[in-house]
Amino acid sequence: MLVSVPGLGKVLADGSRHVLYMFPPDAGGRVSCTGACAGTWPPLAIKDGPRPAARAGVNPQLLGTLPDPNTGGRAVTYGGYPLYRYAGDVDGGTANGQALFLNGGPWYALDANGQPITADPNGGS
Amino acid sequence: MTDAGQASTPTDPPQPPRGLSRRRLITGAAGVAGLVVGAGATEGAALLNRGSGSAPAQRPPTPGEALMTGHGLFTRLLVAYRTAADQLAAGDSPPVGAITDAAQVVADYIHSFHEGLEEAYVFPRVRHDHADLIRTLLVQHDRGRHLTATISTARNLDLTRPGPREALRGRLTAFARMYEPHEAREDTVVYPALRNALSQPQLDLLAERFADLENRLYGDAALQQYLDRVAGVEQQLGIADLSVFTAPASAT
Repeated sequence: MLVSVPGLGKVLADGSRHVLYMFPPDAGGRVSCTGACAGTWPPLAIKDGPRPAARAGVNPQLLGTLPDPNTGGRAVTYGGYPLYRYAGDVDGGTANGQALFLNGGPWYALDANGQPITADPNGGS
Repeated sequence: MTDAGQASTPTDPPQPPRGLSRRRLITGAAGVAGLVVGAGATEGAALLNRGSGSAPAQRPPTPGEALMTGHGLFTRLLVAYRTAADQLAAGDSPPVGAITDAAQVVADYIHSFHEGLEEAYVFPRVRHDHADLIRTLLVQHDRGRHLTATISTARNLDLTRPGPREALRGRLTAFARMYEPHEAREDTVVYPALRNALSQPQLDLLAERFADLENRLYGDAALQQYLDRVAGVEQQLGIADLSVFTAPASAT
């Protein structure tokens, strides 16, 4: 689904309205965030077998999965990017992880077309 | 976006023991009369019961011990922040490099590793009994990461002007003020709850997992290297000698 976040517009979220992020070091089609990183940025996981289901505003053709080394299952992808939640988003509809540089790279929310949004609502801090 | 997907947490596959820098640091590198930080009564009894004629087996630190060692490093950084803030308030000019060095260690070790371990392996196991506390700790982790991002840019500030000096002082103080009780709650509530929630074999497995993850991320002797960097920060700020914190006799 999509949720509206002030300063970012409509961004990709999971079924509980938690914003989903991409991590540029994942380029190449792999889940590179593991171990302690995956505590802060848990990959959106799905059991092996079923395909993730899209809600309104989400392009189902952009959905996919990749092996998740954290669980041995599958991680959901959008436009090829593995998707992660942020532990600091304790409530749905917030994007506290947006543009945060952590665990070796920046983290960005995605728009409906699967494009990373690089705006920093905190003004670069 | 998807009803089927849910956030995953890392599993705890058995890992072979590797060079455990954190273990060496906490238990003593030589394995003789190793200093055990925060050892519980059972562990203390086990140490006492070892025969004097044989070398004691090297015992990995419990997950709580390992995390509290991270807190010890972090506390020294918080003292450095407090010291720099005091210097700013007094009209002095603390070395900005010390502040940004400290912020880099906080970002690299505390935010990217220590807090990640808590979020991956500790909080999920105690959340049921401490839901409100865990929520607050997560909010504070996030707030801390954003504060660190700002403090890391201190080199760009004109600290000859009152506004930027006060802004930096405020951020350093806010960071320390938040994390001092944060650490204390984790040490006295969260880590003991983890210990109670897991069996000894589970704790042993988790301890090995922590050590393995640290070695994979940072290499051998990682914690000692970070401690050396903290010592450098303390040197720059003039607080390397612990005795500078000794209360004056007139205060007694």
